[in-house]
Amino acid sequence: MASVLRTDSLTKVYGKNTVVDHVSMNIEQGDIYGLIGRNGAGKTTLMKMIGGVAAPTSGAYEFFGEKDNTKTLSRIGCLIESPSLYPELTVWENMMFYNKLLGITDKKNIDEILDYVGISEAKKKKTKQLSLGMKQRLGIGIALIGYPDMLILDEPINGLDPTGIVDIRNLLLKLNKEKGVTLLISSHILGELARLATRFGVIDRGVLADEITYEELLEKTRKAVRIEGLDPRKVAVTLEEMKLNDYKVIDGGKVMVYCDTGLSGKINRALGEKGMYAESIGTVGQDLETYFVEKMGGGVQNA
Amino acid sequence: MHNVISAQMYKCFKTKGFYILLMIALLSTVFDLIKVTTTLQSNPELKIEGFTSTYDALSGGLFLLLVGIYAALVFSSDYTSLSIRQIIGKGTKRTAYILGSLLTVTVVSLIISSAAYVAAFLRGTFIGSGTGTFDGLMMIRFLVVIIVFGFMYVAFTALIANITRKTSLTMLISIFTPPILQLVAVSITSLAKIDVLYDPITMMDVATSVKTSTQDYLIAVIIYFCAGILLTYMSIIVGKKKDL
Repeated sequence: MASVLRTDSLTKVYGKNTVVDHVSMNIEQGDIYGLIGRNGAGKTTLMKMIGGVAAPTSGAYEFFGEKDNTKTLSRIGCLIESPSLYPELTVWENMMFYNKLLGITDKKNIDEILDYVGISEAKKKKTKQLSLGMKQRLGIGIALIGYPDMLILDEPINGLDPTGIVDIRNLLLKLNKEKGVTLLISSHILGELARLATRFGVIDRGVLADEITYEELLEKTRKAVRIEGLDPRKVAVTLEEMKLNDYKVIDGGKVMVYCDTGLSGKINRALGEKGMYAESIGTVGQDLETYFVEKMGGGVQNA
Repeated sequence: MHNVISAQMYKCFKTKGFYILLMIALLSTVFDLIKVTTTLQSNPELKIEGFTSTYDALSGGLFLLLVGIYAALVFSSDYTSLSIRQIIGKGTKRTAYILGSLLTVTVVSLIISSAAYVAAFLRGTFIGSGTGTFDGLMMIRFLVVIIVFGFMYVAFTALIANITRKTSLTMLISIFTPPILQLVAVSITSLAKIDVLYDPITMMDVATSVKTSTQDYLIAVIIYFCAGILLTYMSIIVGKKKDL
């Protein structure tokens, strides 16, 4: 996959406070990269630097392998914090302003985008009359002007009601699947990000503490009963009899049984009835929340 | 920069503030014309001739006020609404944004304040006891001063907006700075017993007077222009240094 965004030791210091500390990350085409961290972890500052609205203290970043970002920023759409709208202008006029800014003379794209983000009925409304959810949609719509290859969205679901959250999530998934738009999304709402992202970056006190793919995350957070010190073939027979078919053998004889971890006692008894006494039997796998909270040093909001 | 001007023009003409200020300017012109007509009727011996001789009676203060309010509204609204992030995030260079916005506001401010010189033209040429003449050269001189002064004033407001990023504060500073400077200049001249100390408004009066020599006029225009360039440069530097 081609790299869309690569940062190299990106750092931002305000006075004596290092807000973003040598962050190096790589986002590939088609990724939905979820940047997760508690409030004040440095997510927004990192995004501001990437979006070209804040200058890095040190380090560098490049889009599409191009070092001169002024050439590539037009291929990026940004929504940093709240949607920036002109309240006196209507939805359509706000879009037209950015159309003109990008030198797009064809107005058809405005209706297309408004339709795509689902606010075409409100196009004649002044933006000060819009609900927060509609403003977020319009913000995404503005970011989509010029049909960018990548969207940078900072807390796009912040303040939305549950229906609004689902709508925005579906919209972002649609953008990724149908239009092939690469997404960088930050959030402190863990559950929501976990439903969207294909890769995760955990940021804690400005440092990129961990990077993990969705599959790796599933693996790490998958609950299992681990059995050690027995012949795996004999264990397998017992498990099959118990209709526990989802298991695998790892690290020279340990058996991982992917099931409700409450069954560990029952498995132990079943093995004991056959004269098999394990050296150790226990449960493994953190839940999603625990995993991220550990990486972030606490303070995440689950939803 | 062309795209910035096009977008900013579009925003200006779609915003209520522009039409409100234009309306104020037009209304003041109408009142001005009524006042002059009434004065001429009650004082038939009074003669108001030509374009420039009528400028003195016109409200230069109103011009300042309108330009100040307008520039403050346009510049600070991009910062207060945080639209500046979207604008820069779309790949617009900050220098292009500042210069493009500056040019737009200068042109639109001139449109708003044009009511003042339309009034001067009408009053001097058509109402002035029937003896008014059109002085083309003086009108050009007058317009050039207005343009360079407007440019300098808008550049000053842009700098303040860049620093404060607050609409009301920018408006207050930009509106009250010229009269305060004038007050300071007058105080210094009286205290230090010097002939004259040029503040922006006094220099404007001098530059638009028919009695001013061409050399003094050109000096005033050059000073305004250089000040405008300097303020624009400062605005760009401040804009580049500050994160959004």
